[in-house]
Amino acid sequence: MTDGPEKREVFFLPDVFFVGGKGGVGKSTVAVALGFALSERGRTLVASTDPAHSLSDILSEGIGPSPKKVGENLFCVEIDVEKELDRYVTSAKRQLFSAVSPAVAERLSRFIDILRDSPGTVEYATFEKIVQIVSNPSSYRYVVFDTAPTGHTLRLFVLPDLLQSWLEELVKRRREVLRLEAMRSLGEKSFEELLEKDALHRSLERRLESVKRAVKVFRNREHLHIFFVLNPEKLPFEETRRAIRALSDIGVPVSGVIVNRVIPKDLEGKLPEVLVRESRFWLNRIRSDLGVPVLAEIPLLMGGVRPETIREMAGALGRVIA
Amino acid sequence: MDNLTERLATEQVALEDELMFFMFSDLFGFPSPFPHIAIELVPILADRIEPWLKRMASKRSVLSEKFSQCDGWA
Repeated sequence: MTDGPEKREVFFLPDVFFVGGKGGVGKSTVAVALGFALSERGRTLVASTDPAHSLSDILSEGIGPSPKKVGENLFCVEIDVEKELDRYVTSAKRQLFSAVSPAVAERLSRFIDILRDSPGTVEYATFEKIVQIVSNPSSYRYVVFDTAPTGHTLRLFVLPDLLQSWLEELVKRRREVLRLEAMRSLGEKSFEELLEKDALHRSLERRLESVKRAVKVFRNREHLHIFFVLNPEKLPFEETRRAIRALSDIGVPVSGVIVNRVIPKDLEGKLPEVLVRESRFWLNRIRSDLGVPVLAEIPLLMGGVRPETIREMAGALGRVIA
Repeated sequence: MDNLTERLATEQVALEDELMFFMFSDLFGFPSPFPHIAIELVPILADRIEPWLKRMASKRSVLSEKFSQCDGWA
């Protein structure tokens, strides 16, 4: 697996891994460990899109909004969606003030604030950032996304298709308007000419292009891997089962699950029996009832998150992706 | 001839208004599916938004008119 031949292709897209799961199951730790494992083979980026970032804590070093080198071939980034949004809003307002009179601009910038606070805005900005990272040609061979808890991840996979059809509808309607205008001008202005000069059409088309790239990434089954991390416990099991079902309903297959904090044999005697029994029960259900392969079972590692434990995890995950 | 151009003009305004509604439905309390994109459309359509809002406000009922235009809703 080398970087060579792919780089010459026009559409070089990285292998993309989404690591999802319920809050607190060890998603971020697994994402980092996976990153270490992948970085043995090529330039890898681990990107956290969870507003409650924990990459910095896991690596015990400050990770910021621009990729930071944390290993031989490994980079990490914590995406600050709120800050990205503020920048985006500021630039829209600046354009607004240069387009119309200050009084109108003032009124319309309040409208922008309303849109900024709409429920879908942050979610969409996250999605857009992901697309931006993924479609940036040839910078990384592998990209691992440490996503926010489950519901968020699900929406992420529905968004591109929804957005594409919404934009296509807008473009179609804009064209209809321009066609009428051309007709009304009685041959003075051609439709093509109007189309080319129309700022709205241009802007919508540009959006559509980038969304189509995203759809391409999300549909590229061979290079898209969705992992759910869970613990052998009731609640993570139920939530993961629902998530897998919901994704398969919209045609997005989950590659498999990674079970974290499995009680190892040598610890069984040292822990309360009821706990061991409970854990074994849910592990069995994970193995038999989820309908997707168990890719790795990571033992409960004593001593919390430390470089050694992450290396140990990376070792276990390296075999999965081999 | 004049009659035709007039009709075309009316039709164009109606279509444009509808398109504006799809993009900026948030202003009427309908969450737009992609408010993030609407943000960058505001400066592009800056000089058209307020006239559009005025036209919408002067209609007796924006909603009943919109709904009656949708098949199967009226």
